[in-house]
Amino acid sequence: MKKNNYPDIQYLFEPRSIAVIGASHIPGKIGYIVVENIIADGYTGKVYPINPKKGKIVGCTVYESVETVPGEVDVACLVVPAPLVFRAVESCARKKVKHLLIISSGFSEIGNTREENKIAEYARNHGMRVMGPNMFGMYSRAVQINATFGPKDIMPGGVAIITQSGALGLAMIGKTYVENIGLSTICSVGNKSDIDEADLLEYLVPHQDTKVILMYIEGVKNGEKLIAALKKATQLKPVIVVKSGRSKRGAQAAASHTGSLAGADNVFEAVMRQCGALRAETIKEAFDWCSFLSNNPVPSGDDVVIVTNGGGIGVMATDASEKFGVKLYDNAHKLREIFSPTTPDFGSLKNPIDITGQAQWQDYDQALGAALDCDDISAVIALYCGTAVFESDELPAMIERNYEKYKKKNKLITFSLFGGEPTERCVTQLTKKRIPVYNDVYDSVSPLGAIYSYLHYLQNVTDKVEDIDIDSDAINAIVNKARKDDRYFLLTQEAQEIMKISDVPIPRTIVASTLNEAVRSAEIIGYPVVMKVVSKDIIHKSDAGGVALDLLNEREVIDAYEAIIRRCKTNVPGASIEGVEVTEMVKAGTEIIAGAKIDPSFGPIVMVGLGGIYVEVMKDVAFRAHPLNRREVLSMIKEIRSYPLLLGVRGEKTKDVESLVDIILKLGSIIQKSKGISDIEINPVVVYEQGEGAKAVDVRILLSKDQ
Amino acid sequence: MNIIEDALKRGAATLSEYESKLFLAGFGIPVTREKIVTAENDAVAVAEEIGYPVVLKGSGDELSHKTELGIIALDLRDEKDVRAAYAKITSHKDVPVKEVLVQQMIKGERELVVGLTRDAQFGPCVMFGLGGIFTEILEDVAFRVAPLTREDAMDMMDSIRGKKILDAVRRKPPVDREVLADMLIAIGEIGLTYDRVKEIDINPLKILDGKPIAVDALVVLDKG
Repeated sequence: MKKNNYPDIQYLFEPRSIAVIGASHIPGKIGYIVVENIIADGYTGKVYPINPKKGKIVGCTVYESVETVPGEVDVACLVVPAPLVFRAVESCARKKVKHLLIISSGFSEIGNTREENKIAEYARNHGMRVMGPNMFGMYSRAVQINATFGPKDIMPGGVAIITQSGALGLAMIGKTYVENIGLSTICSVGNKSDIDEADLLEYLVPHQDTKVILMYIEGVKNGEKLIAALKKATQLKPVIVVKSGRSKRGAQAAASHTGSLAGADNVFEAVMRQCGALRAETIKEAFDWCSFLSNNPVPSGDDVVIVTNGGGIGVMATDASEKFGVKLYDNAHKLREIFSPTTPDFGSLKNPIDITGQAQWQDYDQALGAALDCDDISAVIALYCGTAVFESDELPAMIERNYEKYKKKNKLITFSLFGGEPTERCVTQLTKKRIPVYNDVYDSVSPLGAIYSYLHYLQNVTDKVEDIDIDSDAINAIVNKARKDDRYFLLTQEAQEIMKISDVPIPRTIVASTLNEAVRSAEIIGYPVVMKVVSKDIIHKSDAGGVALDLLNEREVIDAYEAIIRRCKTNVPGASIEGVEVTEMVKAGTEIIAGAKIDPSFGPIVMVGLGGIYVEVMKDVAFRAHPLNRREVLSMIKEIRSYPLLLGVRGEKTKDVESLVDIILKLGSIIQKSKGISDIEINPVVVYEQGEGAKAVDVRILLSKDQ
Repeated sequence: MNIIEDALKRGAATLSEYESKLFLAGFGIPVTREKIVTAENDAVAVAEEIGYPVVLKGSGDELSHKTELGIIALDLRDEKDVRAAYAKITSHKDVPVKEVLVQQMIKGERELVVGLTRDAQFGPCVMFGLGGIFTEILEDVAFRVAPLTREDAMDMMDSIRGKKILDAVRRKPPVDREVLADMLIAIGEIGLTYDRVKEIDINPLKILDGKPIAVDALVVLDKG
């Protein structure tokens, strides 16, 4: 069935009627609580509890089956035991229900994948969409519905939460209430048998009342779809992501470096950044960001000033600003002009502005007012250390007053208060009013870091992607030939052929099957040369002793040829050795690793990193999802710590980064357009000085096994 | 120790590479086999004694940026190479080079750095990390205040991000951590014993068959 025939996702969040299949007469049972919560939240649509015993639950008439319900049913919420779910789904299909919320558990999460797939497929074929199974339900502010078995108290507001974890999600409902974070919706996607995060974003992105979206993710099933949905979403509102599983255990023993490196968390991290989603490390941080971003405007400028009454916390805020990427305003002349009237002589007029421990609330008013009036300054971090001179009774009013003033002028201000009980009380009191007040310096800087990172994304993002013309027919012919040999990797010559087809520069190479041929090839290419064994049984050539570098003359070629054959025969017994390839000795340059692969979650991705022996040692690599544009490739290259090598160190000239960008874009196109290839890795790509290009010295290509 | 006193007497701010390594070798730190020569024939004789390939470097107190000056020749494989390199280095048009260092060529792929600095508050500190150009770029180094226990030395090796470089990589054996620990402890001892040694920089420290060996070294003196 085509997607077009699916019901609008709006009916899921704004149902006109809901049936609860498995509703219970016994208070305390999930089937009872769900009905109770729906009624308690003031839902205005029709509620149909379903139970063969009929009667009434929380004042609602109970129906024998969903088919006997008099009116239309937009959403059916299933709380029956797993073995009864399929029959309930069948009867929902007959009733032409639009969306199913399957709360019941006992499916793929315990290995019962077959039953789950059967349900999802059946629902799909009958024009219904499934959320779950194994989820806690959903809350939607738009129609005041709390179809969950969680707490009754939910604070309405502008934050939408999508969570993959049920228990954590339920706890989040309680915690958001305590933290005074208002929700527009919260739902769990459960096992994602059909509806996933990307589907839900479709509703939440244009949804007026949703200001910020928070997603808790454990694993991604359809990454390409998620990328597209996230890119669309972040154009309109901030998306905050918390992902667990930073350390991926049992990372696949992938044959290439790209595989083993990408298996870790860094691909997810890179993709989120590429989509403009803000990744929080902890739930507390995520909540702080949600609250801040849903209540404050995105600033127009970058410059931030710290105002403090203590030197120590000022220094800490400076450290925090560097950590979270917050730019501190450092126009010394301007700072003096703005703040000298409000700062004592023994204070500091350098950012952080130290108005000293003698500062009274009036001094804060003055300093914060002066910063507000300066057009260059877009945000202020105001720090307060509990002192004897400052009456803490005055603190809340001072903060509230200044926060309102800043808000009116579309500027940002956060506060960090540190001190005894009155100070703590002030934090609690103001947090209730959704004023960004924190009891730790780092906490007061982190939300600003998030909002600036979002601003910078919006300033730079483009839809433009580079489309590189690749002769995929010619590439596929090479791939298919290897397949016929039952091989899942390409021989060196085949990989080089693909580089030639794609115009990626490689060193000059001749394959020799005898000693005499090797000597002749070296003469044709010109000394010095490199020799490598050619064998489909040997992937790690240098490990097998099958590589000899920098051969200067005939004598060395002869010695090396004999040594290579001897070592390979000893180290890989039974390997069939076709000969050696003789290659020009590439002149020295900066060694980089570049690659592309099909990521199990996100599809085609590209990578770049420090090459040579340091790949494994430093794991200094960066990733991006394909397709992308030149600017994004360049930003990926700049992300690696060893980027200065490409700028030139110790008096060297800048390297030809543009040719590296070209190569990476080509690798991305090859992997995307030629479906049989799963991994391409060039290690090293030797990058020369500007205008002199780059060379792909060692190319390895693996084929996907599932085609 | 005479090397230090002699250098201070002639007013040198640093020991030459040759002297630096001679000094360090006195504390059991493994260094490259090398000799200073002042004649082309001697250069060949020493090269043959050390065994090819060799490196030739112009030597002298003022010659600190040898690569930039072009008075260094790597990977010389026979007599012809040595003679040509010797002639080139000693005929530099801007810097007079009277002495040439003939040195064993170490082809280790792995480059580390070991050093000594003096912290204003904590006194002599031993440094360990990734060497070569990566010292500046990746800044992957660890420090410990002298004196170092063996545990300190071992812990230091585990403190750098790139610690995997000490394991068996690419068919190369793992680095002998015991020998490396001896070196780090010895550097700390030098710092505590010799007030006039201001800094030590062994960079690169290369790995040959799993054993660390100082390929270039610089001892900076406190002229008082």
